[in-house]
Amino acid sequence: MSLFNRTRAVHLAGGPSENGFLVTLLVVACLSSQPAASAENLLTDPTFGNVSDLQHGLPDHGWCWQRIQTPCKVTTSRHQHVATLHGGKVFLDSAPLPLAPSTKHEFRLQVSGTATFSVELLAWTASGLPAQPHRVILQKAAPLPPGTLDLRTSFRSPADMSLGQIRLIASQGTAVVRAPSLSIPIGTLLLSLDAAQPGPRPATHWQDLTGQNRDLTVGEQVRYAADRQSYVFAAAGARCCGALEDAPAFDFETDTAAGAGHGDAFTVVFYAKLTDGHSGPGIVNKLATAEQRGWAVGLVFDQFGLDRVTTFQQSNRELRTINGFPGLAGQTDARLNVRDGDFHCFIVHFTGSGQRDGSVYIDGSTKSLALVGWPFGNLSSGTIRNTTPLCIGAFGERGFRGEIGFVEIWSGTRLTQGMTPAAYSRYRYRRGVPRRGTH
Amino acid sequence: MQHYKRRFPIVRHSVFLVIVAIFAAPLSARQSSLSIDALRDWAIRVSSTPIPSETYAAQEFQHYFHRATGIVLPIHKSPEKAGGHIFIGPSTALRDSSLGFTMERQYALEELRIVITAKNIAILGGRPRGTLYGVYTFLEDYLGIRFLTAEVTHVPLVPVTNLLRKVDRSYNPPFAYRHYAKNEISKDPAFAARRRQNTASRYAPQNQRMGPHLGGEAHGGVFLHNNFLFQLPFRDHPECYALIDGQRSPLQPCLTHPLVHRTVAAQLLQNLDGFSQGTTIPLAQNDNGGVCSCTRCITVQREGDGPEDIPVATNPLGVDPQKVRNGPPSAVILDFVNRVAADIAEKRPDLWVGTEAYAFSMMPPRKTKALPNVKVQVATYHCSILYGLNDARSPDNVEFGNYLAGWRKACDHLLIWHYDMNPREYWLPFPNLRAQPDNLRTFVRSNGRGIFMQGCAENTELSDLRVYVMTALIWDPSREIDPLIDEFLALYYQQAAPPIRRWIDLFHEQALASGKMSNINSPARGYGLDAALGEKGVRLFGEAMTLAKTPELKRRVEKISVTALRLAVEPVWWNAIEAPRRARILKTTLAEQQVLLTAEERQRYRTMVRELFALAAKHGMAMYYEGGKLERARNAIRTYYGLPNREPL
Repeated sequence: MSLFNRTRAVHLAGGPSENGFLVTLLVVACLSSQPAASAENLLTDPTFGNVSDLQHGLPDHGWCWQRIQTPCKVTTSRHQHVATLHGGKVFLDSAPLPLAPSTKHEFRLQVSGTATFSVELLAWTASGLPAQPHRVILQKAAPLPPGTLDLRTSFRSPADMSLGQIRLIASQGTAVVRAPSLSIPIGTLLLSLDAAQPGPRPATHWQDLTGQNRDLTVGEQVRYAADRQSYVFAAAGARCCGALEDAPAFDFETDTAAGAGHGDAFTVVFYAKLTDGHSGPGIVNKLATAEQRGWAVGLVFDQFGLDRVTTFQQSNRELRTINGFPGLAGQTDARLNVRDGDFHCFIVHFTGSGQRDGSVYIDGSTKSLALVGWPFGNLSSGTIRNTTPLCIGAFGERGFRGEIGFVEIWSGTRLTQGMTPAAYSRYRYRRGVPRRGTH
Repeated sequence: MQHYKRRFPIVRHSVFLVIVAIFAAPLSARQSSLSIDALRDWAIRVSSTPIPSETYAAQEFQHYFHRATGIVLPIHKSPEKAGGHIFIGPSTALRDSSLGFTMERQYALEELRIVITAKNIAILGGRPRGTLYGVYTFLEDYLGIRFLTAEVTHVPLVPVTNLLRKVDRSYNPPFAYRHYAKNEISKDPAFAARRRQNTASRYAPQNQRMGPHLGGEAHGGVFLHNNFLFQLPFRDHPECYALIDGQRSPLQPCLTHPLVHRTVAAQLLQNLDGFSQGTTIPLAQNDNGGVCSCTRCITVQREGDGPEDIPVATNPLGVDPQKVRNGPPSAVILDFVNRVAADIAEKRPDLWVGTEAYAFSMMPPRKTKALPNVKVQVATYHCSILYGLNDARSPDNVEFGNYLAGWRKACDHLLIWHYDMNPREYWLPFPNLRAQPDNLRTFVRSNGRGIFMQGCAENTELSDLRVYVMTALIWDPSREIDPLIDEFLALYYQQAAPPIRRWIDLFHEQALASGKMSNINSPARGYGLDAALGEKGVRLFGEAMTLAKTPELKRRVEKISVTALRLAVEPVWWNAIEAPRRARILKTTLAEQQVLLTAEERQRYRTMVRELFALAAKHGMAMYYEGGKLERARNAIRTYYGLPNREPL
């Protein structure tokens, strides 16, 4: 918390125009000096302090072992914090753990011995039935190599899962396991733009407060409004674009191209309001045209009077996933009702699966808006990477019409301090007084 | 005809004299009787809002009454005060009539009541099927109609001078669930209803189900092997399956594994809305001998006792003694089923959960009791088929009787899975007929509430006779089997009946004389049957063919003659089909298992086998054992004869 107290004090000490450079330096220093948050280990018993032979009930915590081919057993050493699997064939299962669905997780374990060893995830729905897929192989069965294997693997949890179990399997030998860890990787703040601290040249450049990217160029149709601490996107096609050199940082591949569990989750945060006229897609985007590869977020107000948030990931015109929150043109008449002249805070999370999933939280809510998937087409293969720069406002002739206060882009499924996107929504909105600038 | 009378006194009595006795009552009885002719001006009355089965019952009555008497009775729904009435089903008109008292009590679901008076007749019963059964009972008992097969109904011409004796009778069948599983009956639900069957089971295709006009499908059974509805595959969850000889096996789920209970219960609870009121959810073991020997299962199997307290079963029925050394495996099954049943009862107390007592689970638990919403279906697979279940000559049957008594204590609601076929050999004569009435009565005494009787493949063995006789016994187990057999033979095979009757007697007598104790699954020698007997049968059927005077009768005789012909070719059948199987199982040579045949014998049998397959094909005997098509037997025999591909048998 001290970090946040400090940066807030800096923000209050000077306005963007007078102290912008100094503030920027301080912010960059603060952000870069922030210690990498260690991801929480979701396993309740990483030291194997509570290991038992499975009896008539599933354990609430710890681990239980089960005979598959006898003789077999599991022994533990309290001092060394290890479990030793002897087979025959034996399973050592973690107690069921609440796990977030559609979320990239990382599993780590040190293992040594003579057995053929493998690791699986068993995924369950909230009602106790198998999720789909139910059994995810994290490490294929293979003889252990000499020495200690530092096993590290990532996977995406099934979309319908609620509980998961890690299963360690040893057969025909001994496997000594230690330091198991199951975590959700902490994300990184990749971009932070805030009209409250736009940098020294706000009329032409919008400064990235992370210091990792070059300033965005403010387009001719975009106007800086210092009094409202916002940028005004009043004309069709108005946009601010990043440098081509920084573009690769904002390529987020999906599972369909990177492999199951290897797609990149990311979160787009923006504080914006709709003004007069229709608003098209692309308030934050990395997309040259609607026909090419890339991704985009939209804050849309259409000709039917419906407003919504849209997410878009595309490999080509046939392979694309379009989602609407809480509705989608032609699918439902659900509307967002944010065209009220006020700023609203949006947290838009992409899981990285490339499928009809993800979540959108608005104005501090921790409950996602309903998702309506575009039924025609689905991103089932192909990369969405491109060489187009990141842009704010529009990717084509149409685009967002309104004002933007701030924009952030985070990698991963956990944001600052390991917060979920939902938790970050409440944190960021702060009951209607969002943290601004370097917060 | 002389011979017929001598050989068939019971038939003569049942088919003719009984009818005469009923209808042609002595003069002194006429005052308490009603003549058929008096009904000429009557009407059939149904409720103004009848249920479909009561409308259908009235139509069936009208149709068959007309065929038997020539009198067409109108069916009325509107109030008609004048004239006599045949009330079919409960109605306001019946309540207001002189027979209104018949509506003053509730009827059991399957119960029927028939009241005949000089002014009115009432046929009614429990809904939805009682009235329909009342109509069929009336047609059989008072007009002599017999529903022989789906295609053949015997409708005698009843003189209008015949009398109907005044009566007030009720009947409530002891088995509320009656299911004789055989294609001859399931292919025609209307015929099934006439034979008082009330289900084709949940497993039947839609066109075989009992429609609303037949009273709909009865709930309650049968439970077929279904892995206890456990759907996590062995590939993903070997730990949830039985530990057998130190290794997990997909043969059966491990019922004490908490995941098995959790997933089965969760899946059912999620779908409870899909079960209609009174439905039984089957949780049944797989059809194999796998018994889990994990420590959890053993603990439950011992039912709270230490290993030294478990009684030793030296010769248990249907299971290796080693598998019951920790007590009856059924304790584990019932414990699991109870737990799921308790989960279900919390949300749907109207539903039942059913399970099997079959093979290794036939021995009842020593202490565990079924919850009130649990049914157990006890299977007789391992019993000797030659003797009744109450017959002390069969130690296996005596042991089964003990099991049945144990189950009666463990569960209030027993169902019976009984057999009327040899799954190994559908064409062989199956000498179980004499034992069946005693079996069914034993079930009734044991509180059996329903019965699933498994018959042989369509057209095989004594198919037509068995459907008639078994459905009659299932409806009323107090009946004797010989009059039923004689009645069917006389009406269906007519002049050809006597030699067929002799054939049935012959193979039963030889089987009983052999002292064999085989269960349903046995080759011919397991029942003491041999080729010489088959040859006698062939001669009897030759005689029957001569006696049959019409092409249709000859067709019927020819079809049933396959039983004798099949037995007559037993040496070749054994060498071609049984011997290879035994050599494989016993790990011996084929030569050690085969019987020696001379070249002449081989050639003679070849001619007979050719005829056997021709007849089997002609009469639609597509299967020769459970799961085995005719072609497979033919190929085995061709192989035995070493015939090249194109050379005919």
